[in-house]
Amino acid sequence: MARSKKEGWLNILDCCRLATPFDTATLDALRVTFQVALGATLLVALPGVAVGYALARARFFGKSAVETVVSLPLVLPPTAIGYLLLALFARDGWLGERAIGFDPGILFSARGAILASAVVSFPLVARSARQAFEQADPRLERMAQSLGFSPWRTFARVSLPLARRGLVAALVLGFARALGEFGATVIVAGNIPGRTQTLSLAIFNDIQLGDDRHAMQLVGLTTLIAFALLWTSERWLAPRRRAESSSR
Amino acid sequence: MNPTLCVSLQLQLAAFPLNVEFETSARCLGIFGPSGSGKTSLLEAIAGWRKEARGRIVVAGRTLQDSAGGTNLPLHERDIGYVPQDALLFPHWNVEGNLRAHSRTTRRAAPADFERAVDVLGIAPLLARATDSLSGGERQRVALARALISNPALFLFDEPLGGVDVALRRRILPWLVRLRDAVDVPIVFVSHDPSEVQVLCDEVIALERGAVCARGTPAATLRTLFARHERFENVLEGTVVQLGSGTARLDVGGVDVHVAREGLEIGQRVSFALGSDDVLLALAPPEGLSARNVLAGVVESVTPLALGSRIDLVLASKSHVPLSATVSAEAVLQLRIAPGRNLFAVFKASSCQLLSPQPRG
Repeated sequence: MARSKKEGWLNILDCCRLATPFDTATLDALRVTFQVALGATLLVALPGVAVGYALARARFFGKSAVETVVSLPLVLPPTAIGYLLLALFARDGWLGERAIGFDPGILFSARGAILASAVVSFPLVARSARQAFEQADPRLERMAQSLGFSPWRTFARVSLPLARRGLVAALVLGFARALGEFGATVIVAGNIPGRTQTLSLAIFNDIQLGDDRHAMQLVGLTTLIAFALLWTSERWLAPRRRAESSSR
Repeated sequence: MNPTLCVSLQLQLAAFPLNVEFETSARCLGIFGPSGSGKTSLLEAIAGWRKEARGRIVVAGRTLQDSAGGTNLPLHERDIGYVPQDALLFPHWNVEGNLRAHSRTTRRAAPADFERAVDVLGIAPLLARATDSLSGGERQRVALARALISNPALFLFDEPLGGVDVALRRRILPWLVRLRDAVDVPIVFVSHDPSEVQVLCDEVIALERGAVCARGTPAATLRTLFARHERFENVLEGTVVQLGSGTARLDVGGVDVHVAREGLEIGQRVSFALGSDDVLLALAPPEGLSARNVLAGVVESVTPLALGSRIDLVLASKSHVPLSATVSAEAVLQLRIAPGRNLFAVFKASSCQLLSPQPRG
């Protein structure tokens, strides 16, 4: 089933190849980029939103330490994160084949690229999600509970819907960050065309090889995608700002 | 069966500690006091919104909190219908969504409860509206209905008339009276408006800097609290027994009182306010007078004020209706006003401000 789906995708890509001015390498990089960014976004969505909510609402011992750890990937050099992941998933690492009994298939694979991008975009998603939750009046949650909502139901029916725009924006931001990921990805997943070579890795490759024309083409493509993403997320947030200012 | 409420709470507030202890079987208990006296904190603590509050809360025999015994029910198990000052409607649902919010929670509500609440508070035309399109009074009525539908064991109303202007207050007050009469669970009603408290409540607790400073029937408690004020707002309640061309005759605890007719109907229960400075006192029933009300009474107490005195009377009737008048110091001397003296209170029908003609339907 999955196989035929994959073939379907490939057929669509084959059609694109015929219809676009882009060559196979570019289209491969484009496909890998979106696969990686989408996978990373799906991977961080749940923990990012959960941690964001905990930071926005919960009071617990050592909260500031947790806050700092969450934000750490934001300031650490991505290569350092990549190296840590590499050490973690290496054959003798804590999560390597020896320790868990099977090969998790992280290193030099698309999975590794997804994991690396996810780790790097996690702080952005968690911090934006936290802001989204903080903007909602916590008294509304208490009111829901006083009306008989269990805490979990309050979260699902009140907290999440109230923060939904901010949460979508958080995920878009995480997706955008994953899209441009380079340092961690190249160390964990390598730079394998068609498998782990994303647009940013392909640009690096072209510059190394002196193929300036192709590099410029990829830069243009990346700019276009980034523009579309930012524009969409801004548009998504805009109606909320208007509604907020008119209701006050 | 008397619904009972036992509260004993300690909570450190920014400026002073809240330390309140009372037991009551009042149907509607008023919490009265100036802004910043801890009224809202008290309600929030009862609702469980103040995690740091310590003490004991028992509603109709069910212990919600007992810090000494280790009981502390979470918010959603307290069965409390809290209506805060700002209504707190859910912005992502329309009015009907807000009213049906809890419908799939553990707190069952029969469809009849929904219909009744919509009817009691007159909000049928608002059901499809977005909450941000509602006026202040409408928001409050929706919040009251939402609390009513949630079928709680105790209502907490935090100045439901606080955010609205005086004209609107007068229009919402009757809805509150209706709500009070429609439910048989106790209501705790926070207010700093003496007239509201007198209309709605059968007992009042006055707070001052987090502590109970007076307690009793609304009229008596407020008279004590307002001992130093020049003007006291009498609030009386009666039934319309006769309609004249311009005035209506009310039976106020066995005393006939004439008030402006203002669309009243025979048999209606009506509350009205009468300022103490609108009441004249006479030694004998005056004749040839335009004022419609001349009522015999006995002086109960004389309280000296900065400019005159407040005379608290009890009207001559079987139910001892209290009435206060403010007069000058000279008048007290000249009429030799002292406790036990028989006097006549005189006031115009038009001085009586109707507070709550009960809405029809």
